Amino acid sequence: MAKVSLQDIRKVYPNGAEAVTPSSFDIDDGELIVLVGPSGCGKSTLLRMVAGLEDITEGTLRIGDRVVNDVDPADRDIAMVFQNYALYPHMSVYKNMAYGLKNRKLPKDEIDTKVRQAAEMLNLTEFLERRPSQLSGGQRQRVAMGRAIVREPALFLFDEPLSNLDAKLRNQMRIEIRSLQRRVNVTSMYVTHDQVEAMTMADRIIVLNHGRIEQIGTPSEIYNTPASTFVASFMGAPPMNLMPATYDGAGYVRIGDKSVAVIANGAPKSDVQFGVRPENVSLTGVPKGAALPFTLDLVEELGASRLLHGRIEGHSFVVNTANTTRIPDGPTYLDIPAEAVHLFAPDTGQRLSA
Amino acid sequence: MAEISQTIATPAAPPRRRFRWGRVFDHAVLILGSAFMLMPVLLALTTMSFSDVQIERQGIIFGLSDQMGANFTKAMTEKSGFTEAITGTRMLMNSFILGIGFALGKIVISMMAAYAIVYFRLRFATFAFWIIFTTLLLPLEVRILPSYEVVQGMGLTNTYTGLIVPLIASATGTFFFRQFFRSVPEEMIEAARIDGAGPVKFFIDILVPLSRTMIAAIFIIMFVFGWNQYLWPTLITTEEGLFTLVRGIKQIIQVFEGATIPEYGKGLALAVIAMIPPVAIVVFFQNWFVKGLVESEK
Repeated sequence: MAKVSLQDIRKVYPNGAEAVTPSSFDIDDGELIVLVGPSGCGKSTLLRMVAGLEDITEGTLRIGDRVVNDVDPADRDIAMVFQNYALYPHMSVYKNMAYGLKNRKLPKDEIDTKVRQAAEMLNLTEFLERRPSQLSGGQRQRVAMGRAIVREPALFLFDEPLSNLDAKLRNQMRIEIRSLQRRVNVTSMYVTHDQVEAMTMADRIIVLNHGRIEQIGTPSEIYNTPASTFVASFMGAPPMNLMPATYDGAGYVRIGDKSVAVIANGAPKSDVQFGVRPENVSLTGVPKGAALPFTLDLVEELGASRLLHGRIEGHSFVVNTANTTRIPDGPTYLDIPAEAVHLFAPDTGQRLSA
Repeated sequence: MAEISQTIATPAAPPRRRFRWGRVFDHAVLILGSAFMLMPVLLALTTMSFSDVQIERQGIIFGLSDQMGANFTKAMTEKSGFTEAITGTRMLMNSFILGIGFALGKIVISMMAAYAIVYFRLRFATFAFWIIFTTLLLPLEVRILPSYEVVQGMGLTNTYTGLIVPLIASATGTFFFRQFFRSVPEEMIEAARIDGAGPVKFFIDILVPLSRTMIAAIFIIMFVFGWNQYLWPTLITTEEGLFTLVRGIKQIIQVFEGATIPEYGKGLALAVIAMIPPVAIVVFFQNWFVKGLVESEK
């Protein structure tokens, strides 16, 4: 258990490509940090640098009080769970879990106690003598977890550990990993491209794009006040609706020839990107006040909710409504509350409104 | 294969199967082909059951007589050769030493070479690999004089070392292991690194057990290859105590040429004995063999 601190960590590959721009953040003791971003955003590289599987080009990495930039992965006091689990296929579950301890020259009976404890915790006791090939995907995942737990490391690293599982199992394992991490209270870094995983598991989320940190924050901060259009459109399903508009400097945004009230905290008059989450608008059949006309093209039934795909002033727009909402027969309008509107700079994508 | 065709055929088979000429033709081709291939072996076996005198008189004989056991015993136990220093049993043992030493040596060397090429950031790894690969173009027969010169200079003629070591560098083996190692997922190495396994530990604890089937397959090929070596043993071993079966047979028949009748029965018996181990190995290990070459346990 330890605090982990990254200071201006940078990665440049020999071919000159900068995979991670200088990035700094701290992970508190026992915290689970999720690194999320599209593929190629540098999240795995960052994790692998912390693991010691990639060299750190510049910057300082501390695990606990130790600078570990040049420490061998085996001596960093970390454990890693890989996407394809990387279990040793020729070893039994027991041996898979014991291998790391054996290499550290722990006494046999101590290894035995630890492995059996971990197996107990993960409901793997009856499978200890099986080979990985005789286990289901979820069980293999748990063995990989067990291999990490028995080491009692200062830091857990998870590299997309759930992406090889089917959707149902993924939901279940998500909860298992989370509760296990809570129970053993080990500082963790978790890499995923799935924003649902990020939202549900993280204490704090780090959103990465093109090797740069876009935002660091709790799931609700990330969701409610995205720092940029990238974060806004990456986090949340369906993504935030974004469209170009003009802010008049006096609390209104003009989209085409319609205006919408916004809370902008004294932003100057300028062109903006106007963003609204699909679930923060309401659908009406009557054009009252500032309601925007909405051309409905397609309705997607999701069971608990409905996605209405359509257009506002020629820009595509998605509305997420409860399945109990009645869709008016005639023309439809959207009521957009001022507090639901996010404004971003059109060029940099940075957040303008509070 | 047999199982598969059975499971397919059994439920669908009607009480009387339709007679198909195509099937007859297929089988005829197969039977003819195998008869053609097996005939020499069969003739060796039958001829062997006659006495040397009869063989001298009649040549190859189709049929059975009573001398088979006697010829076998003679082949295995009778001291023969110019110096009377070797029996069939001894030659069999020498052949095993050569076959096994050759196969094991090749596996060890080529695994280590492939390990170095695949897993270590060597400056000229790819180049080194292609250099090793081009040695396929330089079989023993091409480099036999220099090879002999070197071995002789080191005083290794008439030793098992001299017999085996110059042959164990293997481009084929290196190539097979290289391809196999490259298919082992990267994460396996990383997991092992985090688990505290250094290069040697990783090789022995993980890579070697993972390559089991591959090792078995290459062992079979190389054992047979080593067993059948003729030219190199002929050059290197002049002491009859070191003769292998494959080269010994001819020597033994030749010895009494001239006034006496050559020991045909014994020679044929030795030839049959020489065939048995490679065949047995392939038959017993064919499952492993196929497994090693087509699938990998990952």
